[in-house]
Amino acid sequence: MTASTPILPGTPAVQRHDSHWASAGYVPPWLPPIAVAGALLILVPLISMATRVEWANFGALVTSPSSLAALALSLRTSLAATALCILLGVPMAMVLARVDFPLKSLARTLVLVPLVLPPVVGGLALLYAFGRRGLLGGVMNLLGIDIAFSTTAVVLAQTFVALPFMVLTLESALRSRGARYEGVAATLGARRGYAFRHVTLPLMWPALVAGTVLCFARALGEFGATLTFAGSLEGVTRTVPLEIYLQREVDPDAAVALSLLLIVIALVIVGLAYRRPGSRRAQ
Amino acid sequence: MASRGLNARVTVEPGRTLALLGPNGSGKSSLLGVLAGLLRPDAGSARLGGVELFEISPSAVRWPRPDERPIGLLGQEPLLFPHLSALDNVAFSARATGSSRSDARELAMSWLRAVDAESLAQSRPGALSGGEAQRVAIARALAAGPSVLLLDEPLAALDVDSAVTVRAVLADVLRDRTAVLATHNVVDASMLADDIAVLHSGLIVESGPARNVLARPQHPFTARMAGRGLIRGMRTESGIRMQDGTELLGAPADDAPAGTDAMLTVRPGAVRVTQVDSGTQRPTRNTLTATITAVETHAESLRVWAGGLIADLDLERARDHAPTRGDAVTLQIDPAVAVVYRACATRGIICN
Repeated sequence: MTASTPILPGTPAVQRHDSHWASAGYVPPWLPPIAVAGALLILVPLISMATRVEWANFGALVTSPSSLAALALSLRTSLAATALCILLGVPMAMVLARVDFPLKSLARTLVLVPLVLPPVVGGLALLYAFGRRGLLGGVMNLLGIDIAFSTTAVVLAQTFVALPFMVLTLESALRSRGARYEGVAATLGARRGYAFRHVTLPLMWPALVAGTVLCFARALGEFGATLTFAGSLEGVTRTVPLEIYLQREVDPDAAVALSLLLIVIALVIVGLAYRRPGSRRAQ
Repeated sequence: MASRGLNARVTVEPGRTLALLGPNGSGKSSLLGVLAGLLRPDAGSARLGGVELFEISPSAVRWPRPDERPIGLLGQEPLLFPHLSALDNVAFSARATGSSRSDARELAMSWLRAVDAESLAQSRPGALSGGEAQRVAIARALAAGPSVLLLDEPLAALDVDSAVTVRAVLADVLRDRTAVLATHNVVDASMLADDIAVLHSGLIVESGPARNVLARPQHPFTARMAGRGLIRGMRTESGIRMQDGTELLGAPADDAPAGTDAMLTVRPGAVRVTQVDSGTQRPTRNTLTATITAVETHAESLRVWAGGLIADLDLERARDHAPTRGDAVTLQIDPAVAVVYRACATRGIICN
């Protein structure tokens, strides 16, 4: 640093545009009440559920053998599905954001289909692909693999519905940042693989964390595709949402207790995902 | 090369710095992008010290990736990797090409020292000022050991004080280095470059040693950028004769024979402007009459463009009778300051 530099050390090189003006002045007065109504729509059911919890038996209800089996299965499958989403989603987002190929917009639309498809339909589609009599069933029979109604099927169903969250999050991050840093890395002699590992991945880290958390949440909550494609076998394919649906008839207290557990997990996940990991970058 | 309407041929001698001088959108950045390998042209080729850098022609396509080229690029924005310290930014190239961490850091430290940024080594890019970041970016580009360094408006994004510091650093590191500098700034071009090529709408309109190009322009556009008046005519014994027969006197800079195409250039300070209808006594020696095409304030005076010449008019004097666009004026040229020299037969050839 030289004495002639007039800018104070620590001054951000790039000022955020929105820091100069208070943003609240631009909201029409009739808008906040509607926003509150929307928030109540989400909040009231959650509170109502919390009031129904049998607090005295809560521990026993969520640690019953069937609850524990469902929780363990959910955790295992969701983690596996999340790992698959990272493994498949990073290359998909890179290709969509950085490679020009024919019918690219069609490809992007197809990737996002699971987002808008009813999960039951997704489950059926998976069944017709990987099921015993599915499109790939013959090949898989020959190889001695039977996926349908197995834990693998649960993971596949969860990956199917969660993958778009990863691709969407990463691709928008990649596109908004552009490839300028990768260009710099290339002119500095970094091969594409090195630049990907040492520039692209670190820069997409906040988006990767957000995408991972979203994928895990979506996988944990998966119900329709799992039920259709994997069935509901205790300890094998009966995840927490399926267990809740089953207990709803037999033991409503257990269903409510497990539901509350899912809500707490969801809150923690949303808190993690929206901690705005990128907000420190401007400093 | 042809890319985005760019059609240019440039040569830079080893150890020299060539400035590509042109306004925004004239194709400077595109040309640098093509050389660095970041922008692929429709057709073109480049050689580096006798070795082919790339070639795209109907008969051959050889287009190495940027990382396979011995070419460095410094942009308008520093683009330091935000997740690495200044030191690790400078060490990036060495690490990427296989050096050990300690070797890379040692090399990086010596380059930070070269740009007077040693104390910034542990800083995160976000904590640096624009000028500091650009100095670190210079060190990073040089640490890669490029055969040719490309600089794309390296001072354009800096405030005046930072620009002064960074310009001094650049002047230092560009000495004896092969470099191409894209700039729209005549001051940067004349202070940093040995040679200048002037780009106008994707074409190179003239090129040559920096001092010659700016002091004796061949193209009206160059003259405008250099802030000089320029008139084309035919060589006479002691000046030029314009197409309309007006004869102007000036100091000959070469011994071209009378009757050949010639140029006369003069700086604004040596041109006196008088309004035709102002009633004041108009000069008659070494004058020409023209219509004002533009007027703007320039420091303490009004700068007037007319008939290819530029003249400065004292603001005090211009007060009662401010000249405006379309006014007829008489321009008197100081024959001792005006320079007369050979005009190139065709534009774009090097004859400076």
